[in-house]
Amino acid sequence: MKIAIILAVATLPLLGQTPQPVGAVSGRVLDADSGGPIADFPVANNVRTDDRGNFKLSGIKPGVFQIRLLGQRVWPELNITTVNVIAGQEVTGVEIRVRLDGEISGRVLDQNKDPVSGVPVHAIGREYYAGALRYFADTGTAVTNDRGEYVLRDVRAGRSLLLLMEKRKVYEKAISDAPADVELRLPAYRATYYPNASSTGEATFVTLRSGEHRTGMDIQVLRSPGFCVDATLMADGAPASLNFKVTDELTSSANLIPGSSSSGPIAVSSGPDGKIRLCDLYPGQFRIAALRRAGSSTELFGAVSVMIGKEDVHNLRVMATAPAMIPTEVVWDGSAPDAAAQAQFTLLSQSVTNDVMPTSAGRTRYPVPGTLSFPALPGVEYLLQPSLAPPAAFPNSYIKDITYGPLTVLNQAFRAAAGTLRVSIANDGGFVNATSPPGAQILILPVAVANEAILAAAMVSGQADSTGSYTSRSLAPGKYYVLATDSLIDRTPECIGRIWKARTRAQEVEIAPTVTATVKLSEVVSLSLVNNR
Amino acid sequence: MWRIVLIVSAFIRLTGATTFAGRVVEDHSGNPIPRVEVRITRIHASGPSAELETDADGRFRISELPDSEYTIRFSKADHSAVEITTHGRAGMLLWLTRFGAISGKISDFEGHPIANAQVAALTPSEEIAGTVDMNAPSGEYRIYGLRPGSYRVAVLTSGGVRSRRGIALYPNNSAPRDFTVSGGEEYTGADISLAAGPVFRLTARAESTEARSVLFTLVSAEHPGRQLAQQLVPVDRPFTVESVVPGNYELLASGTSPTNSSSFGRAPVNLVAANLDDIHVRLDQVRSASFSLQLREPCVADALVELKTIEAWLGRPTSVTIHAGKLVDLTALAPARYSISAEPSRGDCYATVTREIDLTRDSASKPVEIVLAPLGSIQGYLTGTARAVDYVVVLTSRYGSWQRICFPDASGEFEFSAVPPGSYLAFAAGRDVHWAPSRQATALEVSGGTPVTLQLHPPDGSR
Repeated sequence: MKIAIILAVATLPLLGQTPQPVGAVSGRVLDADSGGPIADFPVANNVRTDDRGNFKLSGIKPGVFQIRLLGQRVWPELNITTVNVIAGQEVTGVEIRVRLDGEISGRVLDQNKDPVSGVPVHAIGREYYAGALRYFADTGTAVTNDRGEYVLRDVRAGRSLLLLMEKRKVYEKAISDAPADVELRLPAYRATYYPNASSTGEATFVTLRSGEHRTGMDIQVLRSPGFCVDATLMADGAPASLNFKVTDELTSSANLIPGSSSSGPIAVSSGPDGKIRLCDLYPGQFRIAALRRAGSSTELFGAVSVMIGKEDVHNLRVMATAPAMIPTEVVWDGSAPDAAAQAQFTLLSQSVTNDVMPTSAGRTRYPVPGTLSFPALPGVEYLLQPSLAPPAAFPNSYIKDITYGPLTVLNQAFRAAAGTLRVSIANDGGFVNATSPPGAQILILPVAVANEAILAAAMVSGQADSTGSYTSRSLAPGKYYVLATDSLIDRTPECIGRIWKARTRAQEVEIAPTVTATVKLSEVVSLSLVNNR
Repeated sequence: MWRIVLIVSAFIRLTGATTFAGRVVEDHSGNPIPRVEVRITRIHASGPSAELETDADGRFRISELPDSEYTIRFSKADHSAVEITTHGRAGMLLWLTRFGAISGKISDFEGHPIANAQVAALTPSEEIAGTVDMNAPSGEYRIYGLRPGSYRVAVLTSGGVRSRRGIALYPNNSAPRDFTVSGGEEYTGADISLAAGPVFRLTARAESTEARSVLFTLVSAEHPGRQLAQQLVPVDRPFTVESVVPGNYELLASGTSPTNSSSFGRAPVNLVAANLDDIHVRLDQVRSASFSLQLREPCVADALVELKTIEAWLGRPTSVTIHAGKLVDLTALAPARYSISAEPSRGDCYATVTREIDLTRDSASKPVEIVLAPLGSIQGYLTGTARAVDYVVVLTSRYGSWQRICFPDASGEFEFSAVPPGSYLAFAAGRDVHWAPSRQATALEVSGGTPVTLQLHPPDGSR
């Protein structure tokens, strides 16, 4: 077993330096699916559960204490349990529900059931991200061995996953020497989803139970004639020597894993004539990007989408340009607060697509109101993350809107065009204070959201402490649904779909400007029991 | 030893529009091999005229190519590749060698599986072959992609609290088993139990007047390419390693001085049954070697020579550019075994050079000669048979695993063109004959430029 990383962090440190009396926390670690105890599970450094899943943490400073699990037997997403520790007492009965990682194995076979060796199989997850449902490589990659076998280890349980065989599109030279006649070329290996589907729509999802080892997940690869695309890469209106990169827009390779810094390989560069010829392509939609890097940033970039049908594509042009500097205004919505002079505004922009290096984070701080500009590459989607500091000076602040021309891009992906980006920060936010059974997850959902993708971006969640209290961050005035649940929250369409349905069982509150709305939640909704779709 | 097995039966020479057709089968079983990639390239052309795959029955066929001589390359992952240069032919039967595999389980002395151990197959020259397996939580491992040859299975590192410094061979270090792969072997049950046994401590000090700090590396004498411990210490402090299993080791030390000059030392260590706490390594062992470059017509270029230590000395490879007619000395080299590689600075020439030099005891006594030569060729004739067209001639690289095949004409003449300079084995093969090149092949050196002449006889008793 690998060693789990456990962080036990005490927040709200006590004032004063004298030795303090301490408290203790005890409870059980349970399997989220079966409800059974999990033995030998690491809860903190040198603390593991016994055979019946029991643990006890002692010598803890009084105050709010968080048990954070971030381990190898569970998918490393923060699994936090908040406990109120009282000096000289033991908080008992803390139940931590976890899903243990599982394993998926099988073979990749060709049309004759002959094993295909040396090809990667990815576990693909779906999540709402930057205002759309996107596919991501979820749990790493396994490469088939000489018998066509693959094993995906440490696979996240409880999520719908797709299995995808997709050969990496790395080109060794700019001009492929594949024969001119399609009939005389090797057939291509299509990106194939389990069990033998060419698209996510026809693919079969697999969801592991906690700790499950699923075997026999054989993928039969689809073949097709291998098509070629010839293109000219251009910069400043003339052919240029540029790097290039090909991604299958219909598979996960088009998306960057949220928060990751990898952008995959780029191939060799074209010659000064800008000519490239890429083969081994199959029917589908591909994105061909031309780029030039300078250090860790992208100096020139351009991408085109190309549909491959039943023949080669000729005379494509890919124009690379320097990033556009997006003029941006930051304004107060309404009158400026008293502390306005202290305002420090930052704007991070993270690329969503996989064919560019992540933009260097704009850590520069700007005053409000103020103007700034940031680089954005043509045709690239970005997730904009504005923030205002210091929080203590602006307790009622929130990002009211981000507009670009006539459109709002709040909770959605941003794409460079013409116009000025305008970020408006309001200072009249209110709060929700919820009372619920201790430890419940509290969900706050704006009433006025158009669809699940926006809901996933706009919802606010947190956990009630051991006294059953939770206070939200500053929220825009308006109507909200508030809900308590005992389920783990993520941004998969399954989970967001259940939250969407569960709104009927939520309490509706209206937050007035700068006011704290209180809500009592006696019911804890189990999202797994909500009928999805 | 490995053997190349090849059957070419009922080759039919066709005229007019060119057709290639035939079947590819597994050398050890005779089973058809589907999805073999067949690339057909017109001689002297840059890209293939046609690419195809064998079907489920191992068959391939392409017709109506323009009449010419073609090179056909047959390849599939985990199999040896074969290249044939010929005019159109039907009825070809090709035998590809499937690479071997070894699998087993790793456990500790109590039988508990050990996960995340690094397991590898080592060649007689200590190189890692095939895949390196970081084994599963169940302790199981599988190494595949083993070309014909002889291998030992070694656990190179085993992580976790029970880690011991030392390389563990299957089934044990005193009598390791040699696995022979000739084609398609699938060895199972190579289970390795990491024995309990005693472990000891080594402590060493460097003796140097100049060095400020010393990088110590401990390697086993039998597998010097794998470091077992490495530590940078100030020159007045000892280097200590715990948990070393008994055996023969080499301690490698490189010192760094304020003037940035390097000094080196090495000492053999024989760990038997007690801690060794007073090893002294004198940093006074510096080596040199000189290099010269020879050009064969029409090559005109410099050569970039790279020296890499075979032992696990830390440091980047040393490289130097060499011009023709001028000796270049490399000094301040560590007392190590080196592998040498050379590349021409430009052009289509190939560099040939001795693969290895040993400077552990002394500096090189004579210059290392690098030769830049163009692609060579082999012109030969098959004697001792009236029916030369019933045979094929096979050329195999001595250190690799690809084969080239050509067809003698009725008078027995044959030719391999565009052969990179290097060492080769060549032999004639008849119909339905299994061939052991170690016994019957002719070794030859292709130096580039001038053609090499070769006379071959048909195999004994083949017809």
